[in-house]
Amino acid sequence: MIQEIAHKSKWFWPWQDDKEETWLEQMSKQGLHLKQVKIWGGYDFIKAAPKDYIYRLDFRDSLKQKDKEAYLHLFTDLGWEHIGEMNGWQYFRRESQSEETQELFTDADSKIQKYRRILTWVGLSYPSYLVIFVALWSSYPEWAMWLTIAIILLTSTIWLLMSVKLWQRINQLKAL
Amino acid sequence: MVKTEDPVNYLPLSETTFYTMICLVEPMHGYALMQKVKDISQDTVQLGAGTLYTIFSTLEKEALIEMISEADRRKTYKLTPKGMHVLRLQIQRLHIMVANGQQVVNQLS
Repeated sequence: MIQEIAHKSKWFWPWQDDKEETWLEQMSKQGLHLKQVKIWGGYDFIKAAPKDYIYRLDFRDSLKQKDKEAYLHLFTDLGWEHIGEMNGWQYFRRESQSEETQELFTDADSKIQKYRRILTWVGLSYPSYLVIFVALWSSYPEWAMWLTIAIILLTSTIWLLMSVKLWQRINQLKAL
Repeated sequence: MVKTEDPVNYLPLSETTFYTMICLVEPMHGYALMQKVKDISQDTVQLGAGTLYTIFSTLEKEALIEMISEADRRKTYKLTPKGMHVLRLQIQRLHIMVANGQQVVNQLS
């Protein structure tokens, strides 16, 4: 039997992981089950009978290969299926009728640490991109200069917004 | 998260960390530990996979637990003597808390 695949693109900001989980659950309810994730918001779904799945996201971008294997093994042991990875985001799912907890994070500490890892990643990746951008500065033709400045202003604003949003999220969790 | 060597600096332990450490007086791996915590805490404490992994990593970094074996990438941990010491101090704190709580309850009734 040939599996029918549906491709979809959807953008979620790094602080919208709850929203993304809910979206994936709704897709499964319609019979579209996540098969793999691709870079920058590309999703492949398998078409099949509708099912109640629970989807959960963790963020781990810097595990060494050996630690990664142990990490995934623990999650599998606890009943989670690892579907894929996108820019450090780890996609897990399990069937919803299972008895064990439906959350990956069951205390504030570990939840805060998850958002700290995301914030660190956002915080570090953008400036390194900016450095490359500026390093190539002299190779741009003059007419491109203003465009470049506009792009840098725009991306810097987005970067600042992302950092603030994540920082707010961490503070919300701390207040719990 | 580097802490000085005074064991008091690790206190108070969170509920999830406390239960994880209680279980690790004997060698145990993740799945068995999660089940045991659910059981002995009478369903008051749940350990999700992400939380458990975070606690294991933190405690291992702080040398309160150590990995004693790894079979098929499944890690088994056990409390270190330092971890045992911290756990004892936490239990003393809990005794004080319960005694104070009980006193208030007695006064009210």
